[in-house]
Amino acid sequence: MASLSLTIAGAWSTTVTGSNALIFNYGLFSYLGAGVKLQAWVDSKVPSPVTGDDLILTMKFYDSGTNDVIYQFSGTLNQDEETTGTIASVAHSMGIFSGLDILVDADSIVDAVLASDAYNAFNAIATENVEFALDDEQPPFFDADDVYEILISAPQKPSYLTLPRTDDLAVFNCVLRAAKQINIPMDAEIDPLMTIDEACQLANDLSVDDDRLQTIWSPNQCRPRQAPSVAGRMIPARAIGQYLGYKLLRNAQTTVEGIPPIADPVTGEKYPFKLPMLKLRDDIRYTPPNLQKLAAAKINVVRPMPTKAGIKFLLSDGLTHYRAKPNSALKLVNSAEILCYTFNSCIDILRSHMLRGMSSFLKDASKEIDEFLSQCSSQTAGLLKPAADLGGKPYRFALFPDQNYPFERVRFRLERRPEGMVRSVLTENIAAK
Amino acid sequence: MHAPKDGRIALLKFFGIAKAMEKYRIIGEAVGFQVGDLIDNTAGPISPTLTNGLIIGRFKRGRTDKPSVITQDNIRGELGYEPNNPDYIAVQDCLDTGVPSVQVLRVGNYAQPEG
Repeated sequence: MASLSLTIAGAWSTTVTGSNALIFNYGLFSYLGAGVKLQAWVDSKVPSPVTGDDLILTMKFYDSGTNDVIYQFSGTLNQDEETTGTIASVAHSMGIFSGLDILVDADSIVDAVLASDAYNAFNAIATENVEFALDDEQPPFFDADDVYEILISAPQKPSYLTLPRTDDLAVFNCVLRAAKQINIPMDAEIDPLMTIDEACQLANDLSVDDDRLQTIWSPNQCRPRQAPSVAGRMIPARAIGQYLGYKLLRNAQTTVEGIPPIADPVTGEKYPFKLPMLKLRDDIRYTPPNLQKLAAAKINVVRPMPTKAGIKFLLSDGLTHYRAKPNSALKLVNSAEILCYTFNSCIDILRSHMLRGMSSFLKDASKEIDEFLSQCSSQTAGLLKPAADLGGKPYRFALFPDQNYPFERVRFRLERRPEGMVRSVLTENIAAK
Repeated sequence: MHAPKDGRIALLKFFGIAKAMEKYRIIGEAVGFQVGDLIDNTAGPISPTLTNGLIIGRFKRGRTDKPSVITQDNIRGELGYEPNNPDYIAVQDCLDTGVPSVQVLRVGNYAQPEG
């Protein structure tokens, strides 16, 4: 644990030695890295402070390179954690400390503060403070099992796992394993500096056959985010952050029943990528063989495409990494997501009815699942479509007790037909007489 | 509000006692009604939302034991400003679309091989 202390004589320090009026021992959840400083100062609430309650200690952790404030909090010099406004109470409520141990000596704190370099008298311009450079704290080394456990055990299950880089195979495999375990889509971005052949090689080398994985690639360039001019150094135009943002915004536009419009994929003209001075890399040429190669490698490319409003940069495909059957719905991003969403939601419904009587479980859960799937099939939601295999209905499910364990186990079977996505058009061009 | 006259007070008291006499939480052997709380069946099931994106990456700062919620206000403080880091750019681009927050999980670097 690190410390901030104030001796009885009024000397501030980040070590604890001798007799102290204040000891603030702390451990942070965050590994702050290099270049972080801790600044502290005390303001007086009254002209003549008598107790620690008259003095307000402020602690500020900031990045000395960029001046970004990381954490800042203030509280009276009192170690009572139950009284709102004391430094102990405020520090605990910040939720940033893994460990906290605060000692304030009520007898000596006022004299010590008054004698210190960080005391700002009542109504004074608060310029007095002390500052300490903190040690460079680095996080523990990457542990795939640990990261996997964190991802699958989060109380609030994520909707998507997003990996902005695919150059690190260990992290990639770990995240993909988690995506499979919790059955949610995963999006990964291929390095925008690669050539078409390199990108295809990488996507093939990943050798994944899973409908939850999508790789996107943006071999484009743009100006930095806050660049004040249009001319100047160009940087790789990464797309995955914007893509995730579009998906989350799309999902927020639910139907009145709360069904997200995931039948509408975040591809094509409706979702143009916007970055400053976005342009295609000079060495990239989308010839028919190259486009064939990219589709075969299951790479969804952000590329300039003509629209009625001019050239826009669009995600030009919606393929998952499902490779088993070429005409399956699972190879389409939106269909695969619908299948994940509907199944996960039914599991959530079943979970909410578990540990109850068998009969009421079967009755209530069936009713709720039917209601949910019916909402997914409505014209406004449009997630599920009528299928010949399902007798003209968009879904069919069965919930019944297990034969071997009829008192404690039920079986759930769900069939549904997801919405698809048009990727190709076969034309007939006829001149009639 | 006017105070009721004496006769009305007596009448109200009578009905009050009568009401109290015939209503029970658990009726047992008595004559009357066992009355429970109102059962609320007006609320239907709430569909799960899909607005919780999680970005995994390496950053200058941040905790590694669980995901952090990152917003436009805290991104520089929590993750550390690194405009050339692809992971940082992804988080920033996501927030720039207008999403109020996104979850971020920081992962550590590799252990240096010995020797």
